[in-house]
Amino acid sequence: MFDGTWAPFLLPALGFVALYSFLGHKEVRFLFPALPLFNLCAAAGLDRLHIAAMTTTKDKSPTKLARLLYAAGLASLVASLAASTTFGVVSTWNYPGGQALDQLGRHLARQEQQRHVAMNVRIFVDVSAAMTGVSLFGQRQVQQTLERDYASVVFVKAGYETQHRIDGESSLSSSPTSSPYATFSHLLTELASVEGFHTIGTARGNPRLDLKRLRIITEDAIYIQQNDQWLDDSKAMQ
Amino acid sequence: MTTMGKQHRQEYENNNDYHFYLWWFRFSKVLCTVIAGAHLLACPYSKVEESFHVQATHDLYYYGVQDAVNAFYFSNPNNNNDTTTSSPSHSLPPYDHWEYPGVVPRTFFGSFVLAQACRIVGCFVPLSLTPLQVGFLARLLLLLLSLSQLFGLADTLQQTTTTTTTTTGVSSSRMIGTYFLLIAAAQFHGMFYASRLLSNTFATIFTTRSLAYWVRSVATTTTTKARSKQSTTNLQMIGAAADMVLATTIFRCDCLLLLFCCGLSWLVTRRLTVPIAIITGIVAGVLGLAVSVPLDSAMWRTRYYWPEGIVLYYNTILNKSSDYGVSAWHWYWSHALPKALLFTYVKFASKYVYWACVLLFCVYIRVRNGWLTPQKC
Repeated sequence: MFDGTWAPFLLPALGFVALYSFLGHKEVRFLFPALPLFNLCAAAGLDRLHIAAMTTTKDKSPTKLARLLYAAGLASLVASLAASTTFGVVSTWNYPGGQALDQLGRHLARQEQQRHVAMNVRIFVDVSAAMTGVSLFGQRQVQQTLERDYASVVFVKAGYETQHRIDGESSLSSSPTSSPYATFSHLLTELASVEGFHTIGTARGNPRLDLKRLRIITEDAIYIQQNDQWLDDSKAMQ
Repeated sequence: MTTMGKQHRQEYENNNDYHFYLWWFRFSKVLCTVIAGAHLLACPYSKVEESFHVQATHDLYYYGVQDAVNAFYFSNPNNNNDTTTSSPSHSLPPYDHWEYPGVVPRTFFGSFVLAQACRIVGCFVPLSLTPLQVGFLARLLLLLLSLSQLFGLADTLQQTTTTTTTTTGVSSSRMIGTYFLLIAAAQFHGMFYASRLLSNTFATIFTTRSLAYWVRSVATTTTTKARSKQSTTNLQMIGAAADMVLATTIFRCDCLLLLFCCGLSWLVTRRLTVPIAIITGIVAGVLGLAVSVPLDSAMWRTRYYWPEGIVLYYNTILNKSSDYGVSAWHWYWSHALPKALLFTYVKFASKYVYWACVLLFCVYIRVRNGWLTPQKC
């Protein structure tokens, strides 16, 4: 039952997880380096079951228990694959920030065909959007796509951690009376309504798996807010 | 576990079973590639934990390291302290990490390699790459690196035989490499994160490589030597140890725990002798520092800056990572490992009796904490 060949591989992996358990802050990704060790031992186990279940020697044919365990091992593989596929599909909804930026880029690219006025686009990216998929690659893509049609496309990011939330927003307000967002033409924010802005699009996120009805439930996570004055007061924004 | 002798291999390859096993092995490789590739295509955006490396790769691709290196190492002594404002003739690029340094610093080495590789590929492409294409290419290259190490380990496994000697003969299976890949393909986290720019992914590439060396070393050891309790150190084990040390010093200092545990295992099973272990550790450690410190000092603008050393200090001595949330002591066993290993967790129970007890304990913990609460991935 206990095979010593693989103990030198399994015990370090177990020790790693046990030692790491002493650190309060835990995340699944901290265990990634040890996962191949676990998988190696599991593969060895499944291989042994394969041998026990499939090979027929002159003396005896495989026992029923061996066959059953081997089938259970294979079934667990299939079940794992099904669960992983579910996780994968749910994960596609975890990036509302990136999707919102995409949407905004396409919206602005479409818009300019209607209005041939060079305007300045200033986009504010709040912490939630920055944490869920707004990357410099995406920003640069939007800038490059729009650079011929607009005078300038500027991004201002609040930060990646919630501590920045207060710092970023307090530094934005140019005058104490106006809203801190007044200088921006567009916002990518988790706030559903912002004074002086209206919502032109949303990106859904925060997926949950509804097991009863086998659906993924999402909610509006990031809102694309457009300054009320943007299209009307283009001269003031230049 | 031994490698096959030449004659045995000839006999074996003539056997029809060989083609059966080879087909399954190739299928499992294709399956891994398809699944990991599907994750890359389905989720092109990155989350906060990847943001440092994504922005770093962007900066190193579009701005390069030259300006930071020149400013840090070769600048005029008069301007040495003046790194925030820039002289009119020579303005520094707006590196993202200068404005948003993040909670803890990480090395730029991984992003540097990927950015340079993207630039090289870009030279061969007739049209210049769009930013999204560059981002995708960086992740694709990382995926290829991850898969290559995974397949390297699978190849090593496939070349070993697991033989059980029965009274009448030897029955062997050449499925262990295939099963390893199938298990890896069926798990979510390995495939999903293989293309994600995380320091954990870079570290996993190195630990997988280390494991491949280790398995190869064990497989090429003759049984007589092992039985005589001699040390079985060979070059493969040195490679294994070196890779683990590099993972720790360059990418993730928490691999120190894994290095410690594996190192103990190697010393106890006499795969490494103490002198060789020490020498390998020192040489690989110095190599890791030589790779990380010069680059990171220039990028983070501080002398003798070793990011993983700072992370180690932050986590162990300052213990500030707890500010970002703590979980119960059993969380790895009851939540993380089941989610990561999925039903592989169950496979252990069929093989090791004591592991079954751990599994039952974890199920108990989960039931007590609400078994059916929906999970975030």
